[in-house]
Amino acid sequence: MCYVCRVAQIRSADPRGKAMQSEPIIRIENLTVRYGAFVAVDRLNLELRSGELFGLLGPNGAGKSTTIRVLIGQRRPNGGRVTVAGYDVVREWAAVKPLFGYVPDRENHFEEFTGRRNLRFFAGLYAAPDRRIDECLKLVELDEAADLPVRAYSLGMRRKLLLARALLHRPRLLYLDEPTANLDVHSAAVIRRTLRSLAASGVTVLLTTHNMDEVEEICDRVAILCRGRLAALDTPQALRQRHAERKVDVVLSSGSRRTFDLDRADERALLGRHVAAGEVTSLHSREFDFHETFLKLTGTEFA
Amino acid sequence: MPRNWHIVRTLLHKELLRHLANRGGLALAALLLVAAMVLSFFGRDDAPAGSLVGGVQYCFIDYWEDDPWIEHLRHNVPRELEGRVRFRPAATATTVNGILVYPPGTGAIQIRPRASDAGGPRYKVWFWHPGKDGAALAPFEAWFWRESYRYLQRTAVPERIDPEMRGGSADEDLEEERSPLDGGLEPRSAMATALVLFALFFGCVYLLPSLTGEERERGILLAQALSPASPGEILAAKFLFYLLLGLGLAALLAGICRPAALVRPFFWLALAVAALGALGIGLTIASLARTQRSASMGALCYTLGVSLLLLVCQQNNLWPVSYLALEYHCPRMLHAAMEGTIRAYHWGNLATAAVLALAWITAAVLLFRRRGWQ
Repeated sequence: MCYVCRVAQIRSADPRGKAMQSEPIIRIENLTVRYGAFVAVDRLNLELRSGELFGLLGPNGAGKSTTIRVLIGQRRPNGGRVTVAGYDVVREWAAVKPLFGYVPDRENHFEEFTGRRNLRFFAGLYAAPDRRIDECLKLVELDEAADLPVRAYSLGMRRKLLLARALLHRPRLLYLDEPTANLDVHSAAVIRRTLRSLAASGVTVLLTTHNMDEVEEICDRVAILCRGRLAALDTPQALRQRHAERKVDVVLSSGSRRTFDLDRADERALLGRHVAAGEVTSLHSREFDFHETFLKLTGTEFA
Repeated sequence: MPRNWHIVRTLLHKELLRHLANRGGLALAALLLVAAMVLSFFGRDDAPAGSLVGGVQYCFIDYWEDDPWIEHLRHNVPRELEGRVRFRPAATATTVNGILVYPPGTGAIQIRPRASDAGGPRYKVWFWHPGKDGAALAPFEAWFWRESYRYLQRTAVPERIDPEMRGGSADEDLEEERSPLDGGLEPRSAMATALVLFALFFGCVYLLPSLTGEERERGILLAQALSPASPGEILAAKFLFYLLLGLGLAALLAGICRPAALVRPFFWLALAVAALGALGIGLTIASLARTQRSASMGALCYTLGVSLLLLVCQQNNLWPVSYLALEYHCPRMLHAAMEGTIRAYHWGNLATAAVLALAWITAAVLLFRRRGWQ
């Protein structure tokens, strides 16, 4: 029986599968991970729903990658519990493994093989048919370069090949560790588009990123981690509404610059007078600034 | 044991493709084959047995009774042979299964008293020279006979020995016998054995840790472990592939150098045990090393470390310690298997090597399952 069929069988045979539509697909409860005395993740609680595109934000050392390592079974938690589709990731690892695809932060291909050969090897492990290789290559726009050796690939092509590999067995969950870091605009756009369409088709996507624009553009929800703790959890829009500053920066005809706080009546009136007198050379409203918000929430510069 | 053979097959195929893409490895394998052919086709019978360094470096004087004759010989070693003649009671000499053992590059003169009630000569002087080189002991023999004659003259029984008649016939007090030392390293056969052993170590102790280290360092091993392949299946594929690679290359080289070896069951047993042992060592190194560089260095350090250990043990008569090294037993049993000189103690080598190989494999499996893929 092929791997994809086995995954389907596991889902249909498990009574817990019936409840999965309404319940969160990933449930992280009081997750704690320590490296010696250093607490990488500190009593983290998170729930992800099916088909959600979830962003995990945080400075270096915030615990994003450690959380993903726990989810892929590479790191045992020191405390708390993590379940994926109702299965405990520690005790029921064999049942969890078929459910997810993983895109690591650094590419790990067989350099001496072509892109297609790399995918064929993993497709062989998953017992996926050859046509699935072509589908995945096409999905990430690598079909034309498929027969070149990976050592000739650019960074963007390597990242796209990682994504193609993670999708070979049609996983229900996709974990990505900084998938668009250091990529050119086009490659990043291809990956974002692919992730969006996967989420639309019901795949749950969890990604860590440093790119604020990316979070705003594609994520349904975002969690901000700081020193292993959850600093904020909401949709990008809600964060925008909550943390956007109602201020305008004005340059007057005298050459002086001023900032008016629109939440204060006296400053609103003063600004009105400047406008009526024709003294305003330029006027800019302050847009929502994720960097500022991040700084406010975590007390840390975004790395 | 692996349940999904398609996974093992895919992993085996991957290993094969990786090695086919490794031009350095292919070139080295080709060089080994060329070396075996050169060894096989040219100068088959002209190489004398002995040590890899020509002549006899030391001559042991093994005696059973420390009498005045021995004392005389001990005090009359000429300057040119000083340091090259070693007197020792036969009781303290190294034996294997009751047989006196001499290191390569040495010869011996044994002075054995005969039973007095048996009649005939009182002593048997037994010359042991390395391999076919009967003249290798000539300078030691000349000194021995000269001083023995002087001693016997001084003790007023000169008629008992005649230096002009040292051609092989025994006189009334001394019986003379000459024998070649078995098992001396004939350079060509030693090289053939070394090639076969090198092929096993090249495949199992160098390539396996190196490529596995590379996979771990680059995260490919983790990618495989996150796929349906279990650590057991990854391990099984590596075992199978490198076992077949090592065995195949070694058997090919042995077949070129010594075709007759291929029909000896002992050869295949010895080869299988040596390959399993090398595989255990290689996988243990692969499990411990985190990077390709440390894996290669680990393999090199292991090889040099064991060589040093064996040398120290040999020089200091610490044989029991060297029995713990697979590298002590494998060359002996493989050499005997290839040359067709299998003795009872070679079966002992085989049994000990099998136990050691099992220990290495157990250690390797435990280590790999614990941390090998991480």
